[in-house]
Amino acid sequence: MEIDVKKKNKNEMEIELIGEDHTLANLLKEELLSDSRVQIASYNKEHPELSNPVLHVKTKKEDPKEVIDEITEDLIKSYENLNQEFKEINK
Amino acid sequence: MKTEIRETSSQNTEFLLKEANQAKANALRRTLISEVPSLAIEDVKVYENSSVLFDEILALRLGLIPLKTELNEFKLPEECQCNGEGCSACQTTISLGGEGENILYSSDLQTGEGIEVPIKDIPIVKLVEGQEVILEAKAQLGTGKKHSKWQPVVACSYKTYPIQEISEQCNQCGECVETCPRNVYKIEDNELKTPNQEKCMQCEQCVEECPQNAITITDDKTKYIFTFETDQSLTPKQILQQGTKQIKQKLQEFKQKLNQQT
Ligand code: SF4
Ligand code: SF4
Ligand SMILES: [Zn+2]
Repeated sequence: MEIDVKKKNKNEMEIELIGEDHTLANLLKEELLSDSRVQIASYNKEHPELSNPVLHVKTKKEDPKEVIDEITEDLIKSYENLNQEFKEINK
Repeated sequence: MKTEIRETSSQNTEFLLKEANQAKANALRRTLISEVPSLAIEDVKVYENSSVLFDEILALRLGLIPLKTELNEFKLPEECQCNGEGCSACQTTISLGGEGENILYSSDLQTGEGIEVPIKDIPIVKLVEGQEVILEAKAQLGTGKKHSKWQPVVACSYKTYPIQEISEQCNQCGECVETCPRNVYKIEDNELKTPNQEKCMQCEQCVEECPQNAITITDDKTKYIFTFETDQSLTPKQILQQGTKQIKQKLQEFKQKLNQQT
């Protein structure tokens, strides 16, 4: 996957997730929203088939990149755990 | 996130996803449906078809037949060194031939070594005397995002964990036991119990019927009851491991790109 950072300043960031759909965009958005450092988190997919989702994050004062980075790391750990647990299935 | 496996057979799976939230459960559901690859017939070369079915319909029927997939044996065509043109690393040849009077089934497909047709009794076309079909097909990996023939799961869904809260107003009249379509309730030793708590579909019929207004239906939004069936191209274990691996890899890639570009 590729990303395009469309906007970045002190507490705001816009990232286009090239070739992605709601799966990743919604996951990141919801996790960001549940973080107390985040003021706004949303994404927009202009056309359901033709356009890429653009994630928009605004933090209270922290560096948005750091917040996104941390949240992504947490998600990686969650799915890694899940992946380990599914090793237990016998079929 | 944690899981508790309830049931797995080669076709059906039910598990409980714990310490999760809706976004995480939904990301998993969407990945299983549209991003876990499986093998299916993509190109068909028809040499002879005098059956009643048009070539296109025959090709569509062939595409929908599940093929057992060994994920590490094939590459997705777009990730293959042949750039999607087709080579032995991303394609396998399957042929079909027969003449009437006969019905051609999925078991009549001649597959290469290591490729298996898990469901053998799918009828493809009925031939009468004098009709003939000869064709050669290429099967390749793909994802449900492009076409549902590559979707390894069917009926993949989850629901939040239902809770029936019963207040002290309850006088064990038994109305709810009678009315619940999922047999959630039971009166035992003069006490209302919920032995089938998880079967609840939150229809709230019990809430309406209860003369004491003693029932409140809520749910635990950290727990999800997840179910799916497979088309037998992959096992539930392969599907779940591949799905979680793919979400993880995608997130890792995102993180890496984010750090590169800012
Ligand atoms: S209907 Fe209401 S009062 Fe009657 S047993 Fe059920 S919860 Fe109790
Ligand atoms: S909400 Fe519906 S399914 Fe659930 S316990 Fe009540 S009647 Fe049964
Ligand atoms: Zn190839």
